Amino acid sequence: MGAGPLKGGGKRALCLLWVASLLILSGCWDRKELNEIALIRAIGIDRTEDGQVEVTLLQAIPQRAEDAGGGEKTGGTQRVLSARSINIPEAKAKLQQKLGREIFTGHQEVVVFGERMARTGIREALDYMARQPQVRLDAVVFVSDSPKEIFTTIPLAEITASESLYKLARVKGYTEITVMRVLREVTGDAKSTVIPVVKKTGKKSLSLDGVAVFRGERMVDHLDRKSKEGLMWIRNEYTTGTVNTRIKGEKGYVAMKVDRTKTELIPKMKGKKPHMTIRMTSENVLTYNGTDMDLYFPSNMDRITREMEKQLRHRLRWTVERLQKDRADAFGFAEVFHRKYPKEWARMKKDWNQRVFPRMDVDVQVFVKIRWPGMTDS
Amino acid sequence: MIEKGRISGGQMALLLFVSTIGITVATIPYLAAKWAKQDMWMTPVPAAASGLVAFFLAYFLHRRFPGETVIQYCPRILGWLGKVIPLVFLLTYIHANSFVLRIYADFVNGVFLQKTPQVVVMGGMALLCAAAVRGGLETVARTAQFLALLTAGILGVVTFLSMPEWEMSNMLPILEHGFRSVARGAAAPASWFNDFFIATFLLPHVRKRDKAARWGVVGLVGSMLMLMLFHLIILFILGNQADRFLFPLFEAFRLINLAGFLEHVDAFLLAIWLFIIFIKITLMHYAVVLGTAQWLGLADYKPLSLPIALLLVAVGGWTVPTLTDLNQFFDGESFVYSSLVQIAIPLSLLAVAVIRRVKRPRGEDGTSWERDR
Repeated sequence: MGAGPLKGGGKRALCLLWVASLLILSGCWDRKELNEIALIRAIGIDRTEDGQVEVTLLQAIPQRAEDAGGGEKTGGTQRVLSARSINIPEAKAKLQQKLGREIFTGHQEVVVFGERMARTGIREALDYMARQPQVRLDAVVFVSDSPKEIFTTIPLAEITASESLYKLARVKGYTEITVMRVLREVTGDAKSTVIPVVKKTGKKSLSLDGVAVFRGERMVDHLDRKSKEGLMWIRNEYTTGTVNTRIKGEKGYVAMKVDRTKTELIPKMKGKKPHMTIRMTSENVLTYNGTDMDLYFPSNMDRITREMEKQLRHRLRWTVERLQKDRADAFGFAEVFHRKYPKEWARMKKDWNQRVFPRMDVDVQVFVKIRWPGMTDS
Repeated sequence: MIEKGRISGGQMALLLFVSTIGITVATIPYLAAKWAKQDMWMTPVPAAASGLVAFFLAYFLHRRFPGETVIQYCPRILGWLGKVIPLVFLLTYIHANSFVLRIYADFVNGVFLQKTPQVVVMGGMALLCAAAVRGGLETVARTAQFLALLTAGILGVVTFLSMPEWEMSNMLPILEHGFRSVARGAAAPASWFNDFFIATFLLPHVRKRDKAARWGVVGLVGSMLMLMLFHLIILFILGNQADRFLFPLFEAFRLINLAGFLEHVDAFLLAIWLFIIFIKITLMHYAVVLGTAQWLGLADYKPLSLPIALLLVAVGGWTVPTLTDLNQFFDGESFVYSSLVQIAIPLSLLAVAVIRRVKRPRGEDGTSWERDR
């Protein structure tokens, strides 16, 4: 301590300080031992028919010991428990009583909203997650009929349901939607978002089933895979997809895999009316040619390209119209207008989803480039 | 002079720099975002302007009274009244420092150690800072240098890792709500920039005095740029959510996920923030301890370090009831408060000194402007 060499008194004081420090060092209030906590990997939040909240927790059991306690047994590697109450913390408190171990959400990586919850509003759930620093905001989000059913389904080759969900979220082309992202979009300019839907397809399998469209905090529509792809392309998020088409005057199908897309959203004000141009360019690989066309000839490739463009254009158009009907701007057009036309935006933002977005003129332009024909069929 | 140590201009700049940026991890960006929205990154500019005024007041007063702190030249300027004014500074700095200690404790308690009693979190830090101040100014400066290297390294890596999460378009549209909202959002950071007046306790001990002003400006501009960078990171990562989280920078860094295998880097942030906040508290504590010794005319300041640290913990305990009140205070009131003490009072001191033509007599106490060059 720089105060010069310690003399007798100083030394004694220092000793005393050391002894005194034992008093505070002995307590480690926030220690977390693995065998004292319940490691929660996924949380399901649903609303029951009578308006209560049902919270379902998926607890991972790392040591794979056979589980002796209560709750529903679904194997030795995980345990699923649920409780109902007036709100989420209350339900969690009930679960805490059942668990016996301290609930630890630091590794909670999956959140599943029940469809009833989604339809009636997820505000409560979002608030709960954003308010607690212990809950991770980069957890991936899903919507499903019944979170409990999803959690009790352990797909083959997976250890827990949460792990399989986490992997599903990262399937190429299926944009992962995190809690943070939902928070940002639901309160953002467009006040709309999408969350992937997951469903149980067999005793031991889970599968993705399009996306749920949210306007504000409520789910308003469920898009299937094809329109979901259209949506993701417009949002300019990396997504693959397969497009099939027939060619006029030929038999059979041609299929191509969309490899890379880039979408520009070009806003324009025509007088007082907002107008949007979607310009998508995509690079593709031809994966199947069921026709008799010889792809050695560029003219044939051209025919396919034109036809594919038409297909894609229809798909995008269809998605746009569907969301306009839903009155949910999940594309994020609102932000684009806000950035380009701040003044006009101030006027439009109040009833963006209700009036402006559904009535907007949208132009769709698609440019397809087939990079790789596969072979020439000569 | 009580303080035997000497620091370089660079060390002074570093001390001021580190202690100013430390506060970003806390609630300041949230308040900036609340008013300025996507223009939050501009708020450090008006804030730094306020800090510039505070620093140059300290500097000009120092030019008039070389080798003396505000506590010492106050009586020269104002006579008997000048014996009372230093008390205002001392109490204010204890109070302000208790805020820092409290923010630190609230953050640690709220985010990491929920069950640990707050007094332990505050006490541990206060004890450490007291020990550092006992080591003298040179020790504090060297510690800052050492920790700054470590901090810069970790911070650099974490910032780099966060880049995939950046969405630069979150900045647009620029200046949608005009300069007024930027200025309003700057109130919170400005109250921290005003602490640049604390240079009055450092300037007398700087080795090359003619370079001191330059170094002060370097520290100031550095803090401003660093704060802007942090605000931008927050904006890029959190977007419109920046004003919803109490500790936005922390939330932003928590979202880092590199290819699925590198996550949970937020623990690093706590580690470096601990360093930074330690420097901030130590610097302010040093000012109070040295000032008190000078005010009472003691021969040494070191014995005061521990008792005042104890006082600091006590004040930190009752300074505000909850975090909500704390934020309320920093959202405007604190700027008025810190400007009164660190700009208005020094300005009147300087004015009176100029009018009454008070200067420090040459050669007294053996230190003069020229000698230390």
